[in-house]
Amino acid sequence: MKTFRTFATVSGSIAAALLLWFALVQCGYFPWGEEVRFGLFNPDAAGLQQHKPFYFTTSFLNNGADAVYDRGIDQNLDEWETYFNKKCTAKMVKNLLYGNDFEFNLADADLDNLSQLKETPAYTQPVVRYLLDKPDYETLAYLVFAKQCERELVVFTYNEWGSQNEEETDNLPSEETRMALNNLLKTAQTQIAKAPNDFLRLRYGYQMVVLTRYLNDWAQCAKLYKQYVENNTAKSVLRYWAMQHYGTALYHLDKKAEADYHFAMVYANCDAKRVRAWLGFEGENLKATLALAKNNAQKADIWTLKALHNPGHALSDMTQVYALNPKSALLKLLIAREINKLEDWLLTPRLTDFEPVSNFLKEDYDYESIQKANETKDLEYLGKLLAFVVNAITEAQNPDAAFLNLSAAYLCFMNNQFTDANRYLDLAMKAPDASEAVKRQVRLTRLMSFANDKNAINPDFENRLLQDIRWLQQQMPKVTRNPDYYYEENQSTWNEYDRLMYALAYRYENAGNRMKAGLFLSQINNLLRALRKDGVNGYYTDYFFYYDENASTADLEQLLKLIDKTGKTEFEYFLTEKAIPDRNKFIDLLGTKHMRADNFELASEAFKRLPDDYWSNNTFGYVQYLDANPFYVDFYSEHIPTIADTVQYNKAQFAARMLELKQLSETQKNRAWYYFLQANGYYSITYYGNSWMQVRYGWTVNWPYNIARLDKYEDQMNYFGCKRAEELYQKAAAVSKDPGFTALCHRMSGKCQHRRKIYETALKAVPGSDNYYDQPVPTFEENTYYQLLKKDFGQFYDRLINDCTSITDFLARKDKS
Amino acid sequence: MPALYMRSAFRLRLLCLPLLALLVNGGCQTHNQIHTEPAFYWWTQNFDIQTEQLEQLQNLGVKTIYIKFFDIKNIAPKGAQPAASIAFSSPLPAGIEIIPCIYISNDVFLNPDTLTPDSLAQRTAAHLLKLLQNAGNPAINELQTDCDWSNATRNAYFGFIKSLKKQLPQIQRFSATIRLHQVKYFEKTGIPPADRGLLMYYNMTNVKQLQTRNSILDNREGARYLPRQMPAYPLPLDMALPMFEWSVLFRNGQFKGIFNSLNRHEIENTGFLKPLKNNFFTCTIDTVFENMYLRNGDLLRLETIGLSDLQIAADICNRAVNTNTFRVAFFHLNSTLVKPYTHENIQDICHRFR
Repeated sequence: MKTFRTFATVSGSIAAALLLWFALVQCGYFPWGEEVRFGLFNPDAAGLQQHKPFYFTTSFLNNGADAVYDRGIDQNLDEWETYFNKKCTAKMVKNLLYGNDFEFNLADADLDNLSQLKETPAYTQPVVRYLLDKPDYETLAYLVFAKQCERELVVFTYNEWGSQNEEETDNLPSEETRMALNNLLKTAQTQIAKAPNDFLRLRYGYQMVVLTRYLNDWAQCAKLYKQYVENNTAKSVLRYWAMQHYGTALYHLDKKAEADYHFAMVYANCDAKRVRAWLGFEGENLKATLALAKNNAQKADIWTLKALHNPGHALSDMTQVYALNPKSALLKLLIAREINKLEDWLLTPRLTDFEPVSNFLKEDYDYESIQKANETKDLEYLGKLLAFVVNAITEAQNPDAAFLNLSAAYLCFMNNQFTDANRYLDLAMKAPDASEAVKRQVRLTRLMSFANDKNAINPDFENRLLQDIRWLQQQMPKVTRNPDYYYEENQSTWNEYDRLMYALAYRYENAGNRMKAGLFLSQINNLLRALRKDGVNGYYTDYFFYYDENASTADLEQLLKLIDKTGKTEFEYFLTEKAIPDRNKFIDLLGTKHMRADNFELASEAFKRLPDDYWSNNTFGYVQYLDANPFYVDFYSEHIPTIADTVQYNKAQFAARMLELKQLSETQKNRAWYYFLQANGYYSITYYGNSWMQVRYGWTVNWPYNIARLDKYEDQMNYFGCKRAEELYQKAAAVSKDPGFTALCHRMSGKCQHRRKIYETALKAVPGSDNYYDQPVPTFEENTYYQLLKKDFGQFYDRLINDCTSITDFLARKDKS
Repeated sequence: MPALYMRSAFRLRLLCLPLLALLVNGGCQTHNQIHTEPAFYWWTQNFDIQTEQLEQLQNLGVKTIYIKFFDIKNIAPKGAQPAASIAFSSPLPAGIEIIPCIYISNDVFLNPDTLTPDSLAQRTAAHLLKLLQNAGNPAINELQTDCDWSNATRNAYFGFIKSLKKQLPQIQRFSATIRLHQVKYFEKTGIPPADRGLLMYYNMTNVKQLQTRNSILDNREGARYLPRQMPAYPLPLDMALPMFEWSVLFRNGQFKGIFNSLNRHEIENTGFLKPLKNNFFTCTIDTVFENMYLRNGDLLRLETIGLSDLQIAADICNRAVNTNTFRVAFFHLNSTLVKPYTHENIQDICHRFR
């Protein structure tokens, strides 16, 4: 078998996309999570990027957690810089504490003889030099001690090359490590007594808390925290670092409410430990936790952490937060989360249009009514959330009026209240201190609100649209399409701009304009995320395939007219800039669609518009995949090369030859032969034929049944069912004068009928049912042509059925036909 | 009708079981000089094997455990980094051979900013040795790498294996996991420069698609990849069969996530998951369950594996057997899921390879 023909393939970027599609099917790829979650409300507008891991996403906690952690580290470094009166910078301290590329490990220093460090490479470190020269041995002793703790503490996990990271774990350390940690604890007790100030005492206290925590000595950990951290008056982020471990100790001491209280305080006040605090908080005994709060603001922080654990409706928690602390900045984070949830619940199903339920479940599962009921509930919830936000705007206690008005506007937009949306957008823009992020979101929302509010899409609308699009383009970081874009980790390219283009494509499609809808899709950097149920696999990998599946020939003519138009409006130029280089592909598609519709006249006309070298420049891999003679078909070869492959036909040549054969079969003698050749041509452009690429841009050995069921092409019965070929073989049989040749035509018709029955069975098969892949294959006895051969052409029967080489002899009878 | 054929073969073999039991005792010797040995995978981050599991291993005649030591992932912006490195809370069991496994995410080899195969191998070897030290430096005869390589990553991954061999000359054998499509299309996908392959006969269909019946194991799908009279894979193959279960959540046709080890009993006990046809359930309320927000109409597909599935799986995998001595590894050692299987069951599965 000519195996290379059995892979879906085309050239260039489309080839990559299709080959990729094939590979992805094999490897289990299917878009999900952030790739299909739809939303246009950017939570950055809340101005709380330090809470990014807690945005509403499908990759919850994995979103920007490292950046938030680093920001927390920076707080400690800033404290050191202040401590050093800027004689040593934060960067220098960072290099000393967190760098690991020194010739000398500071942890190896002798705490009782620090002056010896002058003789070591450590002296080249600015901080060490500063402290030795000053001299300030007490501070240097702490830094050495901290490095010694680090060396022993990070024994539990190893998640960086060559280093070991501390990670929350309840694993018991080895006996050797226990001894080392206990020795360090004793050293800390000695050193803290010598420490000259609260700054250093707090840090020794912190180290002791950490040491006992990793010794799993929870009682001692809690005691040391009280003694050395809580009682220390120094203002420092380390208080919260220690508090995080204290919370863990309380949890293990079965003081769950107290643990939750401290986790909530850590969450509210400390960037570096925020993720850990979220993970530690259980919220099971909320009443007792709230009773520990010292004021309403702390109670609000506890409710905030509870709300952040709620993946469903969190409005009741938010109401508590607002009642206790209407000024809470974190309220904005919670509002943004709820808006993003509503977008996911309402917009994702509406815009992505996945097939919602397996066919075989449909009897027991009424998706339409479920979806309708859910939408009604979601809109009710949206109304409640909007009322909450409007109330906050009215009471004017929360300082961020810009964000609140923006939120109200967006909720109105989602609820199709465009006038109200615009009113709140105006208020958001006018609000003092409206951030750039808020302003950007205002403009985006106004654009969408406007686009959806208009009854008709007209040039005025498009001009205005373009201004906003251009503005948004400037705001977006340049994204180049990553060849490995199918990997789920690369989700960042699905940005606001792409989402907007996708939403506009949807808007235009709804308005009945598929031509422009496809052009909006052409603007998306990463089209794989553009999902519609129309795609064979539920999604498109290139905008070309949107047209391939959805556009009519009239749509394509309109598209080509727009591409070729001189004096385009600015908007038209913007829309077509990506499609202009693809002009010839669309002419190719136009002709191909005419061939699918069995109109070779119009196909030929279309192909004449292409330059001569189009077919040889391998645009779709034609050089490899249209390398066979489509007018030769034998009993079994199909994709296997044959002796007749000395000539090849590009699409233009094929269409022209089909027209010629049609004419010959109607006017010349040997009509049976010309009908037979036409039938061969039709057979070759089926799924089974050697020139499938005349009518398709991809082929796969896998899933023929799914494709048969899902594809929207109008020639499916011809492509999978070989119907047109069967008809022409029968025409040939009908006019043939030679019984042998007539028998050959029936033999070929039998082959087509066999394929047609397989296709008809596949159409009736129910995916997911037990017999889906065990569909009955039509038997030899069922084939009416084979039975006819047996009955009426007995003298040829055996050779035609059992001798594949006999075709040469039968073809030789063409002159008598 | 392959399915029918397999069912009747299964019946026949059941009848033969007492005879086989007489012929075989203790080990996993089978006919025609084929020797198979059962093994298990340990894939969780903390190695804390329990007494019950040790007893199970002993009862099932298991002498080898494949243990995942760490992942290598492409973590932006650092590039290739180790992740989920194993911690040993309990000592490695005596008398059982350990085969460390390293899972490498395919995009590690796609990222142009990542390390070269040589330097990645160097770091991988160092990291592995450090973790082995934590495990008490057990004797290691074989190391396994697990990567679902693609055309774009093949050269880098294969280069990595070659370098790793050079970095760890003390290890006698290197094995690589092989997916079904890599067996079927080995001329296109390439053959890793390892000493052995391990055919992963599970996770064979797309878990994220609603139309999938059972993504863990679908023997009809498996049979399409392993036809009768298939060409022999160029590396001697060990076999891996699934012994795990999960439930897959869908909303509006979209994959939303997986509940690990959520079984039928637990699903039915929720009171809000109503059974539909086959292995599907639908949620009847909006609720938070296991930290996931379930909505009215969400669909849950329960994917489980039974003994008969494994027996048929063994029959199909038998088509890929290309060596006389190999392991039949079960993924993975979960005492609850392993409990229903007797020594005879495991023996039966091994005996099907002949």
